[in-house]
Amino acid sequence: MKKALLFSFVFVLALVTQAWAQNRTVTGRVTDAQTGEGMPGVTVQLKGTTTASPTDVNGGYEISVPSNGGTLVFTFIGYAKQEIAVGSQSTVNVKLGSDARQISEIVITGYGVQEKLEPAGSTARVSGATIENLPVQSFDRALQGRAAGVQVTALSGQPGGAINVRVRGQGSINAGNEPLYIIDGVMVASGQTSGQSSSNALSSINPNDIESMEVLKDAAAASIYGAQAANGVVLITTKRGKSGKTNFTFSGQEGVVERIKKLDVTTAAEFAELRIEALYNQYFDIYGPTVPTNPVQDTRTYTRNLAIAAHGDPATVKNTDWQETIYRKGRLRTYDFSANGGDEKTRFLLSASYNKQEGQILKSDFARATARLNLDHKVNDRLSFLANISLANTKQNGNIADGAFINSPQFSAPLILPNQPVYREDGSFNAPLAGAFSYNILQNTLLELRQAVTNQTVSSFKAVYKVAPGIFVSALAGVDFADTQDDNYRDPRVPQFAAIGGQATNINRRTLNWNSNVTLNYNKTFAELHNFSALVGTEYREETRETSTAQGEGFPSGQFQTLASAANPKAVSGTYTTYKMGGIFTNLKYDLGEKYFLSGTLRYDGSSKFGANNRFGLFYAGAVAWALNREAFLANATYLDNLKLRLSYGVTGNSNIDNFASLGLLGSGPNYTGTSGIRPSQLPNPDLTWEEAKTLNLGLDWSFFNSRVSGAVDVYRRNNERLLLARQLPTDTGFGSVWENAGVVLNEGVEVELNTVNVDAGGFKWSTNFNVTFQRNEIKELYGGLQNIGTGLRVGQPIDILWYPEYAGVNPADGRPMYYDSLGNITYTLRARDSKVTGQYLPKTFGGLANSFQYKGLSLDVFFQGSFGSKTLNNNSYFMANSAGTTYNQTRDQYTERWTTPGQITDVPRPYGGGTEPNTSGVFNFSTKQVEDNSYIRLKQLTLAYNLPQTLISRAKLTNVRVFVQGLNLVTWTGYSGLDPELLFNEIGTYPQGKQYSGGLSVSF
Amino acid sequence: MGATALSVSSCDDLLETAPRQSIALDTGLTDITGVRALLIGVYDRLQVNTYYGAQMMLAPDVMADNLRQTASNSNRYTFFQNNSFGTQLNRWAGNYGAINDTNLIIEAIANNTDPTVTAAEKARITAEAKFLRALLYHDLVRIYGYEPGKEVGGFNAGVILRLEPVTLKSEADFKARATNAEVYAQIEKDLTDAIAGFTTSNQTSWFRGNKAAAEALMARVSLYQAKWQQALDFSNTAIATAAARSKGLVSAANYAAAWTTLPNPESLFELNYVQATETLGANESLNSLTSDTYVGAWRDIVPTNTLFNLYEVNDVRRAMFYTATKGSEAVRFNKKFAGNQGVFTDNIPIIRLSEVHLIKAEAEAELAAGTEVSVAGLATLNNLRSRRDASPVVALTKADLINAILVERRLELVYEGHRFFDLKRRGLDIVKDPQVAAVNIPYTDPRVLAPIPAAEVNLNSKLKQNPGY
Repeated sequence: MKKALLFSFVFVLALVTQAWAQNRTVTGRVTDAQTGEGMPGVTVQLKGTTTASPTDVNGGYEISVPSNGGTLVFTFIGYAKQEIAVGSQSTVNVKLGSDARQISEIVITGYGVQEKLEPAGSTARVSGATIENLPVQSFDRALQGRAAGVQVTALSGQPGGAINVRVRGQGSINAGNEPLYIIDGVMVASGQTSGQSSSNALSSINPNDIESMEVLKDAAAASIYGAQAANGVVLITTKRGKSGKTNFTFSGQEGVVERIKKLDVTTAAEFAELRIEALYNQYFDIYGPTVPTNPVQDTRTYTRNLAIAAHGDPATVKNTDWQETIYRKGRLRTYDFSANGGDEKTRFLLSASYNKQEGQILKSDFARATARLNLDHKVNDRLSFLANISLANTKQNGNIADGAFINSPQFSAPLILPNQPVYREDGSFNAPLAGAFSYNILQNTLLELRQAVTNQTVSSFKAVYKVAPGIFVSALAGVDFADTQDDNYRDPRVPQFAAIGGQATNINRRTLNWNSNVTLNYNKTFAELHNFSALVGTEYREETRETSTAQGEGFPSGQFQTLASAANPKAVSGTYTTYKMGGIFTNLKYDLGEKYFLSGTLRYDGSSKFGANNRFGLFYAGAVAWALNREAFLANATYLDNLKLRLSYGVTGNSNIDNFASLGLLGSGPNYTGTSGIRPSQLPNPDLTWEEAKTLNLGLDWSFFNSRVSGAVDVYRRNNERLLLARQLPTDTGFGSVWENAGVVLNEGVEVELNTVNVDAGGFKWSTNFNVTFQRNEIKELYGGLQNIGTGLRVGQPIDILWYPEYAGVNPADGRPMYYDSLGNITYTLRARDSKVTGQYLPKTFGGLANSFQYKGLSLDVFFQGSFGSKTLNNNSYFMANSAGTTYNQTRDQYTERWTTPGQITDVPRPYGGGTEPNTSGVFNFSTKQVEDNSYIRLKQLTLAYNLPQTLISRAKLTNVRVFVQGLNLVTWTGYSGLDPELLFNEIGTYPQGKQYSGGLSVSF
Repeated sequence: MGATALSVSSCDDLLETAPRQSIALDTGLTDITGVRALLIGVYDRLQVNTYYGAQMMLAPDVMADNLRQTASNSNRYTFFQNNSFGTQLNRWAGNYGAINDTNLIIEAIANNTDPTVTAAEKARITAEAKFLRALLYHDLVRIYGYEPGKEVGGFNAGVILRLEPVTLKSEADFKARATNAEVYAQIEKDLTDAIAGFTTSNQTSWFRGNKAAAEALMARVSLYQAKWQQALDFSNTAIATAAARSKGLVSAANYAAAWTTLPNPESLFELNYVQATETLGANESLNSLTSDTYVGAWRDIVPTNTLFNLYEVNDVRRAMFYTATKGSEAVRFNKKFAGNQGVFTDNIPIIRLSEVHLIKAEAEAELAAGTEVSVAGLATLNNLRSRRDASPVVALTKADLINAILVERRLELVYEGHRFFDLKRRGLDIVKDPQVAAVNIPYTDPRVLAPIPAAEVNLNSKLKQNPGY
């Protein structure tokens, strides 16, 4: 199965050349060392020449060799290369053994396929096998912790939710920092697909279809993608068919999803007590012992009655745990089927899958059905075709995406006043509730529909024509097309929507994104020593996004949910946006006996996004590498498999801004008295052009003791210059900002990858893969000599700092919250000047540690992932930890730790109605009180699997049977007090990650 | 298949794109239809909930002593009620956006050479733009600056004056605040032009700027500057202009009905809301905040008992309130914004004739020599009261009369965004109501002025922050 999956059409094709100028023929058969089966598609090459031949369906081959025989090189992706001196033999039979190391060393760069030993660029690879059968909805999530320099953050625990990927830090301040994703040659649109809940365009790809993921990190590796490459490039290659007997694989898995944690909040009795104290403290401060009502009343009695009227008597009030109402144990299941096979001319891979995962919060789920056909066809020796067709249907139900929304279950459940029951005595929902959190969150979550259905295809077609030996022309067309329908229904049974009779909103979104390229490849080896290759090409890409929205209100009842039943048609609107880009590129490579490497890339790109004056940009990179292990002076170091120094420098571009950012615009939208109006929305900048990332990379690859110890260290420095910066304008101009090219951001870091086989004896194997990244980010320059823009952007500081005043705890004498002012003195009234840098969002260090234990058919994989050195603003706690200043439920420390008596040392101020003691800034300020370190280590994955013995299953005509159990996000170590430390920015109503347990079976025959 | 025959020279054509929801800023206003649409856009900007949609109407009453939040509430007005440091009306960016629109309109009309556009239309559009610019600047200057002559510590900064449109980034320069007197002078200049530009024939509707509204606004602006004679003159002309269009104070019998009539017969300038496209909904509408007309309303904002007890029993304005309970609390809601344009939707009067009469009364009272009680002022006040079934005021001193007028403004204009500014323009302290348990705000307190957004001050070194922030 494995070798079939690893077969690569392009790779073989590039080496298949006509034999010429030789005088005798050698034949033979290539077999799999493990199974003894004939291996089709193995490249048999006469060393130092372009003479090569592939093996046939039975593994047989025939090749012409010079009269002295020469040396034959047998290569197949995923197998150890073998070189055999022919001598006088006329038959050479070879057994190829699979080579785990080599599997991980095959990388795809740019528009070709090469071995990692050649390029001098920095790339990270995650093989499909690593993520096989992981119950994640999108492959980007599976990259987390697996690749050095690649920071992956789940933005939401919503199944199928958004993922943020940053390759080597954050270079842009205002332009996008997402890498370019290319799936089988198709430049796909990433980001969210729906407005109903957190979503992800990449979730249309079944992760089990993926052969490998390559992250191109430095300019040498990525610059061939020029203008889109500044944030790195992620290349996804899907599995391909293999000629021979058709192989079937079926796998299925079932499991559960549950919450990781619940917030500890006050009970109804505790909250009522807090409010009694809060109101008393407030009224006593203002009025003393009597309140000047008519007639005057005793302050204590008056405020106690006020609080009890609203929140119940602490002695008798009943508590409702609202969090319990919205969480559940969700079910997850995935079923995968694939078949692959073919003959010499045609090979196929057919796969189908179904995945459904319920979230741990009610009503949130994700379901996906996919089908894929990957087809390779060789018309004749010169012409080949390749097609990848993938279809996916995804259906996602969710809740309102992350934010401080009172109809968000994860945000509001802990904040709803707990003295309110879920149901009334007659069994109906108790709604609306009192206070700001007026939705009965269970009712609304159950009755509101927030659904997105997407039909998507990411497909590509490619033709390769051999013009002459070593010269190929190939043409590719790829399309990423997605139709999404968002359905939102607000039920008239929910009181907030009763008056309007319910509301339905349909949003149809269509994304058409296509790209096409034509390339010319040339490969030639001179004098068996000088390897030369050249690539020239041209590429064009266009993306169009359109939406149309219709909304209606006034439904006969909650049973009617489609626009057809709406009495009152409401807003109808739509959007349209598009961009186009095109470029030409060339790449030249040379190496001297695979010892010294030289590589250069040039790309000239234009984009419609930029100003008429500056549409085109030139991008380039150069790289050198030196394989020290091939030097004579290290010839005796036989333990050395590979030792290579790499150095590269290059310039790549970023254009991730709004498609019409360079234009001065009057936009439509306003309405008055039934007439539609316009409004200036943007100032023009006809000079707007590419943001440039200049990357210097120094790397060292090593491999010792037959790959028992291998790894790489990369040191990089990337300066993003002429940033696409939304230059802040004084808003008295009528505009908030204008796009400009200004500013410099530095990212630098060290990435270490270390892979070891610690034990390999007696059938027991223990191997470790470890990667860690240390990174630093600094704004070097803004515009016009400014040292800061607003409070968040400061020269000398990272992008995205936390800029807040420092909380000084509670005055032990009177229980008031204190802060430090700009001079470091205690203050009660904060000024803007009192804020300072209190942390950065970008982690300073992150990494992953995977340990794999294998004994006979049994394997155990333990994978930890961690992130360190970042801080976050726990924005939820602004609402939940404010000394009962308002009527939101509070975290329990607000009750247990509150200041009550003079002399008491605590961080929780005394309860105070309104939260603002006279002439103080009070508790409603963002400060270091809410700033928390969100470093964490997570036991991300634990998989125990058993491959049934061949002797047992071969009787049932099966080739492989694997049973497994696994868990995701099993344990988290963190000091962070919120729901989930895995955050890119602030925690505010964020759907937290869940814990998953599952078990499954995979059968091949 | 896939052959992209692409050469660099043809690349430029292949890279052409154009937006569909927008038109070009530099050419979009050469056509009169663009100018008309932009003017519509300015009215739209007044409708948001942070402006006349809700906050500009309620916050000045909540920050002072007319209105309060219910015990259980959505927390929307907590900081206003407590006069929390830093929480004030924030209209900086919003109003300047609209001001730039008006600047664009005024310039586009001046440059319009299309012979098919009538002089009358050009005059009307310019007059509307200047009327709106005056309204926008007056709201800015009363939020961010002291009234001329009422400065605390001599702080006389007004706001930044921009009278030329910004269409290029080179025009987006940094400016300092003009003095309050300069801003008021510009407002008066715009209103003078607007009044001259409006004719009775080119007036479109009470939902748009018009001559009477411009005169009334001029009266209001004069009142804020204590230019009593000018306030009196323009309140008189506004009343006369309105009368010429059959508009006068409604009778007591028709008072309640006036609030369900569209436009309100007393409105000189009323913001129209179309429910289907412009409603502020359950979340932010005045209707949701102040009444329980519709299920799902917030019902957060109610009168203080002190205010309610100021109404005489027969006063028709007292009958606008009705008792209800919210949670366990006995409260009163109001029928001024009762969802008359549909669910959670009302028209919002920005200038009503009764305000003009109260301006007139106050000007007359102030113009009386020495400590005399102005007969005219008392008559004007009692004329209004008689149309509310309230008994005539008997004033013994000039101060009594002025106080009576200020009380009358509370009674008449509650929910319409005046109380905080009335106290401020007269240099009076805010005495918080016992029901809200908050400390009083002396006139000298920095919180009487709103803070200029910190980001603006940070960006523009010429922009001085208000004292104390």
